[in-house]
Amino acid sequence: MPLGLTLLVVATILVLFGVGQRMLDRMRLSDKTAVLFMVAIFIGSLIPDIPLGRDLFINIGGAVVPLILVIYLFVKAGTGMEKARAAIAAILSGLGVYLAGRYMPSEPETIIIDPNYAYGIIAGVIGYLFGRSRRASFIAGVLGVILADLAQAIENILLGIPTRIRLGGAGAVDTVVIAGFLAVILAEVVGELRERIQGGTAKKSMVYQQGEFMRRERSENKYEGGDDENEQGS
Amino acid sequence: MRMNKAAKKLLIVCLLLAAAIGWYIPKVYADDWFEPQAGYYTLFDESGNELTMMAREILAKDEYISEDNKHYSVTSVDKDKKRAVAKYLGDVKLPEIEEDIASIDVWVQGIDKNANILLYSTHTDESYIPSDGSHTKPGEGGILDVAETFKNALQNRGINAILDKTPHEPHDAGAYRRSRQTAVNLMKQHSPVAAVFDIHRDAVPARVYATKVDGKSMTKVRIVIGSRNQNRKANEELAYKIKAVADKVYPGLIKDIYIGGGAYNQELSPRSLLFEFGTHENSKESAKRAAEHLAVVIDKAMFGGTVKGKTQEGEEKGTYRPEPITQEDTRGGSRGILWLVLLVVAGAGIFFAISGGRREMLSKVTGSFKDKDDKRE
Repeated sequence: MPLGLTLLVVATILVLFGVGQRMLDRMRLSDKTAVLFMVAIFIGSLIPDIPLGRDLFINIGGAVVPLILVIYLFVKAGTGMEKARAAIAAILSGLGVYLAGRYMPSEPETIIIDPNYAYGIIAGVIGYLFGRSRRASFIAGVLGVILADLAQAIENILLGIPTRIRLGGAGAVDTVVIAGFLAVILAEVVGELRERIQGGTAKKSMVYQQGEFMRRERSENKYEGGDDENEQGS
Repeated sequence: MRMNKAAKKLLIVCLLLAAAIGWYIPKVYADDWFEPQAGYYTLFDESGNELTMMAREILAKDEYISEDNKHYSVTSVDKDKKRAVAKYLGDVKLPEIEEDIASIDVWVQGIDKNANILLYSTHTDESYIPSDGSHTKPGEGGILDVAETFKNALQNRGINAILDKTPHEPHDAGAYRRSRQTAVNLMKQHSPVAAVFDIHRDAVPARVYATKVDGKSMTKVRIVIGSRNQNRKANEELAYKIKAVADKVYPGLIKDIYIGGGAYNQELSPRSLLFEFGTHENSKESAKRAAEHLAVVIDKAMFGGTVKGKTQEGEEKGTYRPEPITQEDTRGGSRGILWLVLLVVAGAGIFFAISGGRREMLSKVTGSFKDKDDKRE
């Protein structure tokens, strides 16, 4: 069984069994939507790349569907500040991915961590530090790789490098998808570890309602937070 | 979009900063030579005997299987002297290759050669200075000529070999992100897949790879396997089989097997290997001769059949009958998938274990996060 299909089946089973459901809740995704997106990524991977211009192509499963998910998550972001944080995390992640691709060892004998997996780790760390949420981490992961590829496309045109840029060209197993999911998982694990170390959530004064944190003391209906998702606890 | 003025300003500053840093990034030249002078690391065994040279830094815990099938693990690295010492772990047991006394070509009949062997080159600029005039030729490196020769030699033996020459420049780690797309598309378009090979050349002095095989001067070939992916076992089995056949049929052709820290896109399909055909200082013609001989070895190692062996001087040395690889390879691939699933389950277990309490642990499964505060409402 190919790797992409294996991962899709494993992930779908995990979601259907409820594992990671709370993580999806924080991302404003229902189980059905999450499975739908995963299936869309897989089916979209089978469709040939769409040309966007000279030497620039985009794959539906590897880039269009993840981008739709990114836009959905961005629109659903609670506050303007969270949107800004997510955007900043995405830009810094793009820079991080570009630099990693350029400066990490490239000769087979010198590679310590595979660059294709390092992008997810870089995006996850940046997404967590600057975005402080699973949403921002996913946005940073997906956009990080896409922005780095777009920067490469510009560099190719300027320097006459004869390489086609295919955004998400490997579909479900493209680094765009890997980086997005790896970044979310990293944010979740780091968030949980941090919470355990500090002995519980830093938002004890808040109430969690409909996927958002709300301050309890004034008005339960007034939204005042929600971006620091990693800090919620039991 | 709700975004206040301060946030907008911060966003603009970040954009400008990213653009400025990106603009001043120095250009990287091929083969990881970021230092002022190209340097080579030399690997020694514990008795001080030279084992091999590497184009860049050797890392502790790297694994190395020498030409005489001895397995080493790097224990110490001296960065100043560019020397590393490796501990001998034991001999690698390669598959037995039967010597065929009767010399009857029975195995060739009925062997399914319909599956495709897919070839691509991650570093499409890699070139051979004596033949190409430079160590790098973006988009049209000499390595593509070697890959073409390899493809033709495989096709001449009745194997469906497909070569994708898509360029992946610049020559950096990002090239693996781009070549991943090439590999996936090759697999999508040419199913079933027998094997996927990434064709490279090394960047150490010529003497490290220069040799004589079958009475002709040619380059040795290094096989590189990624240590961290679910297909490692299946890939290792194929590499060992190739080395076993080559050692019998064309002794000296396979230089060694290097087990590196990357995945090299080998997690995409079992039977994925990376080959290094000589170095930038060898001639392209000598690398092409190695490719032609390797095609014979690959054919017999994967599909079986009888083959006449030659000494390094080119004298006949018996006939051999390797068996097809199918059985061993399937076993390795299944084990890899099993490990992957176990890894996911173990990861989920650790994730639950770091929960703050029992209720939180349960909430991760059920998704219900109704805590005391919600209930109070």
